[in-house]
Amino acid sequence: MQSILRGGNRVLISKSTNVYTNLALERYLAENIKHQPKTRLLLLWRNQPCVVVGRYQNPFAESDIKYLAEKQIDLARRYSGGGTCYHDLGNLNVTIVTTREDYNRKKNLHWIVNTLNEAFNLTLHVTDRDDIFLDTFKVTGSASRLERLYAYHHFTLLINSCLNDLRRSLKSEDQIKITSKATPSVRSSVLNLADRNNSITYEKTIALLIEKFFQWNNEKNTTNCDYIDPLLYYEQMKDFENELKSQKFLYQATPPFVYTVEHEKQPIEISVSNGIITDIKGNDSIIDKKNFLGQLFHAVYHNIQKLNKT
Amino acid sequence: MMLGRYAHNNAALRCVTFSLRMLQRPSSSFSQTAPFIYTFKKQTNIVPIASLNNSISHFGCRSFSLSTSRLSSVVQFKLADIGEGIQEVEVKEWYTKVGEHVKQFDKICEVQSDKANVTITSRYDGKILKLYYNVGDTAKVGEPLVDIKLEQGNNIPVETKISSVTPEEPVEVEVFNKTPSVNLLATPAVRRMAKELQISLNDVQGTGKDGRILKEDLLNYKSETSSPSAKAMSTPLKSTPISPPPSPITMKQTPTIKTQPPSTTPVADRNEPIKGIRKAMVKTMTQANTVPHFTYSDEYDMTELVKLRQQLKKQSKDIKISYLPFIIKACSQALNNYSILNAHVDAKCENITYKGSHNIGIAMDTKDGLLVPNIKNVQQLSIMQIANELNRLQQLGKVGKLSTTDLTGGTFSLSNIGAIGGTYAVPVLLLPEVAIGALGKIARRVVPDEDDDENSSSSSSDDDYCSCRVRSIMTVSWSADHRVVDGATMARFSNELKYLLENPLQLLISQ
Repeated sequence: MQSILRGGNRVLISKSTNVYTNLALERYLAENIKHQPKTRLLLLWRNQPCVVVGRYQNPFAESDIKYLAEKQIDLARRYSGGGTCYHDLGNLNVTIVTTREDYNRKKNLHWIVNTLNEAFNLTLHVTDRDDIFLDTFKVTGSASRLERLYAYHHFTLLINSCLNDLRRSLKSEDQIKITSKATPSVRSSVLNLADRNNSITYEKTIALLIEKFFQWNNEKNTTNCDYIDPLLYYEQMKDFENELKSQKFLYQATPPFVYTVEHEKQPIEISVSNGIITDIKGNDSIIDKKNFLGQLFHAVYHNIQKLNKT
Repeated sequence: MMLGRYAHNNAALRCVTFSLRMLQRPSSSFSQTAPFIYTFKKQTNIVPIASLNNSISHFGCRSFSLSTSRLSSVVQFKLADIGEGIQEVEVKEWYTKVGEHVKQFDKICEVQSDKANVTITSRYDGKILKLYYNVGDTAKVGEPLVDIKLEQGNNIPVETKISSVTPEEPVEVEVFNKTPSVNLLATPAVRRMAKELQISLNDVQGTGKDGRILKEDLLNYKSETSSPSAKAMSTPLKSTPISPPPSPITMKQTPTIKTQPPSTTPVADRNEPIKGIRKAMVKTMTQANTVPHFTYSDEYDMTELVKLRQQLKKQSKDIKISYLPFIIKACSQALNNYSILNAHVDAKCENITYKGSHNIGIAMDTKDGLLVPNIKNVQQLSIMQIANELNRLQQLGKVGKLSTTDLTGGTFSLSNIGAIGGTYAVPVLLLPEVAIGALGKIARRVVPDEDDDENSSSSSSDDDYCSCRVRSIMTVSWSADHRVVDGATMARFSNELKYLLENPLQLLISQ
């Protein structure tokens, strides 16, 4: 168990495809590994279909909550900031963990771009917003988390994801109904790497990244690469995993917002803070406020939707 | 004494004057170490309060603040540099509140900057006295985040990366000048000299540390007859984000002839790496430069086409068709007879491929920059179809959604730069193509009448007086790869194109 927490240039590939487990694993490793200066940890993982929102985002504004529930697509909130993304087995997640001082997002992205361009004959480039684009299509989204002693930068890589599901899941009709200071996502057209070069596969990509990672860090010891089964560390990680799965973190960590509904042609403004409906502004006669005030927004979301229809 | 006067104006200098006075008068009131209390008897000039306040606020931002804090034990904990050149962040969450006790390394708040979330931890043990921001506010790097009252007898605040002036240099401080919107560093002696020489410090380039103005700089400035380099240097200090409002102190200057240019502040350069489409352009243009180009230009009389187009517009109001589709179709027809212009050469110029399809590219200024999408198989399309396809590509280009298919496979290119303006140009080839045309604007010009019969001669009396008419003329410039295309071929192609455009009926019946 202890050996999993040693420092140095290492690669770990998660065997789990559960988004909550993987996010917990990421944080667990970042917080507990004895990071050595000038070394990096590369964590590679992928998830069953799920939507991951940024730390301070509003899941209702970023995705179609009903569709996710219908298709049993997981919804998760991660610890780092940034925008929302859709994961499935065709989408590779890469996390690079370092000490706080060695954090350098641009270097990470340039390494990826150079590695992929060379190996797969692509023309990727890094944009101002630290995304990776192929011509005018986005293939990567980045986010990072900086703590006192460590920092991690993670990004997704669309290899051969199901883009239709992606678009459908991230479509939100509630976006216009919600006013808040939550971080909004910046939407872009996306593309799979495999669409441009159909020899690219998930397996090939991770093999390439592992090989080049050690070269990048001038690491002669290339054996520091392991598959990790997070279930073995369940005890240590369960606090994080439970938090990530909890309704509280998922819905109540949303920054305060106002949700506007039109009921009987009149607007009703529902103020939500910490996930709880704190105020309702609107014609008293057309809505029974008692049913909603003080309730958890996501719990009565279905009823609120019904209001909109009538 | 000059020094004393400045001391009145600026509390920060008080330390200096104190120490100097110590040398002169050992019996001065040394015991009073509280700041901002003046013990000097006379004030030789009236100092508006505003200037005092300026100095005080600046005083608080420098490293001297540490000395004051030692007395009062309240520390302004500033937002440290996050890295990546980030200057501002949004405060997302507070982990503490006023009145709470924090220990060193406890979490204070969470900030977010363009996708990076940073947890700010406390540097000290103590009690939170004040939070400078609310959730959702924008916090600036280097500015106070919270006020912490230190625990008694605890660690004295450690020098951090924030303060950039070490306490070993008490003499070099900022002193306000006539226009303190730009910080000038100069010792009082230098300032006195400047005044005596009647030089405005704003105009002098400082060559000392941090852009400090030295005596030598004044002497150099004086010896120059004109001083174009008279720009004040602003010191780049991390911990001085507040720029003080101009001080109302006015310095008397005897009216002299102005020999120096108006003092201006240089605007900062902006550096950015070349990426995206522009980077692609760097690559393609550099490659194209290795190919020997020649350019051939001519003028086409578009009057008949203009008339035709007007007729079409009258006949059907909703058909929007520009000249370009006609020109594209005409090019394709002309290319039938000059297939060498619709060819590709390989990189080493060893093989030439005569392309079967006429895939004519149109240079576009799209959302992402210069792109050249092409219309496939123009030889099979009618003018209307070409117009629709052109429209489709333009729409896609506008929103940045041109596909790879649209952007590759071109065999011949056109640039309708005339839509923006201009007449003659020297277009650069789009490799591996061998020809490209730049269409200038269609402009009305007066041209002499040319009688069709042989009676008119181009000599003698007709030169002085001849009838003329106004025609719509379009200039065109063709560039071609001179390794495989010769001038005559280009000229003949251009003539054929000219014939088709000047006689659009020919264009329409030969489709």
